[in-house]
Amino acid sequence: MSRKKKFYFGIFEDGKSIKIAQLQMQKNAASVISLQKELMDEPLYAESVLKKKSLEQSDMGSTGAINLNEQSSEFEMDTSEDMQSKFMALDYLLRRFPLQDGKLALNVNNDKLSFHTVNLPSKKITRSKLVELEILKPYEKRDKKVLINFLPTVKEQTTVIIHRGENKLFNLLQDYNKKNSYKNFFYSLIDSNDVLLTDYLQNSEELELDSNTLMLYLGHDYKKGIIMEGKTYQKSFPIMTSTSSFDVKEEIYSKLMLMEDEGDIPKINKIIIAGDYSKEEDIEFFAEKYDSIKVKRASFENFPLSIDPEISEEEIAIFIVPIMLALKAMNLKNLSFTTSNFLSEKVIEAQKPFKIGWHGFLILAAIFVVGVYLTNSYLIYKQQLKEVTHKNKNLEFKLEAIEQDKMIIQNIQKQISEIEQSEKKITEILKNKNKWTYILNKFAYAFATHPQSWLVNLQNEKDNFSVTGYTDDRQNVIYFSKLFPNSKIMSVTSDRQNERNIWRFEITFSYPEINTLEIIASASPKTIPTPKVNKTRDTRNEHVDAKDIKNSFLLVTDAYKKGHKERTLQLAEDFIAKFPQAELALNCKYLIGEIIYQQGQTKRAEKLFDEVIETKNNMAPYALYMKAKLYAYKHKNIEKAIHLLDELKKYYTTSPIIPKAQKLYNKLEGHNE
Amino acid sequence: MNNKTRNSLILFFPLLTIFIFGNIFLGNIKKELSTVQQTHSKLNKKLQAGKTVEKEKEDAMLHLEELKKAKLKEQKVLRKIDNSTITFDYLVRLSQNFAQNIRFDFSRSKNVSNANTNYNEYMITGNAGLTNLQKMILNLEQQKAIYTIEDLAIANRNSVNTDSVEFSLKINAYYDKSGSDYDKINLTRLPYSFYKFNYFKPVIEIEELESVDPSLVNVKKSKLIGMTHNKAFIKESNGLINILSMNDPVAYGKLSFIDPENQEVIFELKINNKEEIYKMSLKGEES
Repeated sequence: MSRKKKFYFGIFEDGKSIKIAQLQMQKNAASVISLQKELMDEPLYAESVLKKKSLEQSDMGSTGAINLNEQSSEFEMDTSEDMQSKFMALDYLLRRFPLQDGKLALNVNNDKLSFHTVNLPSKKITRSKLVELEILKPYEKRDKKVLINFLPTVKEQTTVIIHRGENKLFNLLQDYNKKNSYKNFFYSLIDSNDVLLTDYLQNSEELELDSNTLMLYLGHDYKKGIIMEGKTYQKSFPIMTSTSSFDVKEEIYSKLMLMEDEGDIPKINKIIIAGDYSKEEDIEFFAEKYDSIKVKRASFENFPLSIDPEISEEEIAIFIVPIMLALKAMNLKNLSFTTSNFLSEKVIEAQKPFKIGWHGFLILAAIFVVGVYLTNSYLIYKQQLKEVTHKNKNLEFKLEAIEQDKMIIQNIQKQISEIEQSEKKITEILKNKNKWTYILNKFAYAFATHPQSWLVNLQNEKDNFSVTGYTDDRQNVIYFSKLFPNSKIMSVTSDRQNERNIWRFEITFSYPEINTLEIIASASPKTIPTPKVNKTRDTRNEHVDAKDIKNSFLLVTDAYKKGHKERTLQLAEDFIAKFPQAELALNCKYLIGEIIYQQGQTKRAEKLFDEVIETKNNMAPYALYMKAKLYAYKHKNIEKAIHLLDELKKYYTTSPIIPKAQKLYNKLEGHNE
Repeated sequence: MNNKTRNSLILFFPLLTIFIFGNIFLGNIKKELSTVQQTHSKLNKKLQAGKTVEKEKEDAMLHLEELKKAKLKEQKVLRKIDNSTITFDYLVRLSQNFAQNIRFDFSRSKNVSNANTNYNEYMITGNAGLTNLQKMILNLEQQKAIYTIEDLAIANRNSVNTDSVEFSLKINAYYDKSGSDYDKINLTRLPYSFYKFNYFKPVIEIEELESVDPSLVNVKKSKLIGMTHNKAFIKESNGLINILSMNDPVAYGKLSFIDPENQEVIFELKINNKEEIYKMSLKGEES
């Protein structure tokens, strides 16, 4: 249901008369939709009627007393069918309104109310106080069926309005609701007629501060006068009329006059009339009677209420109470109403749309628990998820790094493979090739250390190579043949040239088992000292008496063999002085070095050994050996000694000193470790 | 139905919704967590396996280091291409830079190409000091460019007055398409440590019985080892190879004709005033 279609219904029970006003909210203003009334066969509150009748009869001096209790119980004992038939008019009237689509406001029967004026402001009035003031019975203190509302009254007094008993209109509407609508009616307000009329007056702008206004509501059953002092409620009084009276207005007027005479009501400045007796002639009647007082019909001129022009002012005045009920239910902002409601707390609470029962709280608790559980679980899982995801990212990063490493490895392996392939190819190409530098060098050394020998030809065959040359010493041919593996001395023939005996030889060799690449890699300019070739070769061109040299050297060696060290030294020195350029001079130098080494003259000995080593004489390996010994035992320089022995083994592979050198080397290596 | 019951019912739906959707959501998150945990487990396993890779990587890195060192030590490089111009240029550079510009005769004798290797064969002959020749040989063998000395002959024709020797070299120049450009293979000054000693220099003069010029090739004591359309390669008994063109003199005569089709060379000789046509063939026939 949209807000625009929201209806407000004011239902006013007045004895047999039922009036309903249907209002609707339109743009912050109320509008009257429908005003309808019906007369029931019997009033809802039969006992009150009987009570009134009784009063009337007593007033008229009737003889027979009426038993109220019996009537009442008679009414209560009516069957539902009787109820239905009795209140058919009400049922008929209710059916004309879409009550389920709006808010309902109804009045309480005036006879169910009791009015008490208390000299206290409403805020200070409590049930206990009312008990104390004997307005309430003690047992009513906590009785929720006893409903209390307050109406501010002049002189800071409060009129306490107490409702006792059931509200039959409300009960009847509930029954009707159950039978005719699946949707519960919404009850906004149950209020007393007096409060509603007071609210009407206070919002009507008819009241003046220094004047007294009398509101006469003359309904079907409810007839009451309400006196307003200024703008404040002063008091109300019922206007009892006789049902048998032919002129109700005259009766009312005479009662008012009586009350005025008795001083029950103050001097009135304005009379406002509403209810069933507010027709034009009624107004004129009262205006005529009270010629000095302004008499007017109640209207909604100053209310934010739009009324269909077809609805007459008389009709509005008749429906003033249901309209006020509906307006109060609307709770318009620009109208002020007395705070009062006789709707029981139970009904109000039950109608609250957001009212929650114990099961509702249970469900809320369950929602809370489930919510907390789910949120907690979610947060835990989320945290775990975050942590694991983070870990996974780290792992992925590591794995990515590993993958990259793998690629690097593959690249490296590829490069290695390519290089290995290339190296393999190169190695294959160079296999047993390019050994000539090594071979020629070895020949150079061999011929440098074996003078009086030379080559005339060197050439290679398929798997070997051969040399042809001359020497003056056949021993040299054997030495030469040991230079390279698998050598074969093909021929050695004697010859005589220039009065010298020489030997022509031819030797074939296999290629040495050396790795060309290793030779290239290890090549170093310092590996071998530059030989002084000319020194030995120079002797070739000198005309030296070879026999003399030989004899002189034999003397030296003879002394050495006999162990005559001093003599050996002397003879060797003489030989060097006599034949300084002779090859054997180097041998003499070696012998001197060896002897003086034993005598402890290490410095000179070392110098002599160096001289021999430099010339690459056949004594050079011996000199190297002795120098190594000198370094090992005299200078205590094992490293240097080992280096010298290394050199010896490397370049003098065929020397007889090699076994001794190896022995010394092993010894020193052990010492070094 | 009163508002309390209605509200309870209304509240029940969000409860139900929260419960259902919450559990579905939790289920999804659990599933996701489970998936992520499984992934974690798999990744962990991979990482465990990867540790081996890490070791492999370390090994590979070491290998790489070795490779780098090996590269630094790399002494020999195949050339991308080779032809007689390149090789001659190379030999001249070697000669000029390292062997005191020794003089030599140069000729390409053949080209060989197969699946594994490609090379050109060249003949070099000349006369040089032994030291310079050794330097030349050292550089041919040990410079980065791959040349192999397939044949070497050195001889001294018994002269005490000269330090020079005659030599002939048959070299192969290898190349491969995966090799380096010629321009990028620089020559390096190699350390040499050989003895500067001419062991081909005779101590005494040996009398030569030959009546002819010893510098001329005696074809009757030689062998035809190769030929091109205008060159013949004659190997003497001492191993020296002579590169002869048409009309070049030989002992007792001259080379008169080169017949590449029949792989023959024809000499015109005059021995003891008797003229003779002497044929040498690569097929081994001599007449």
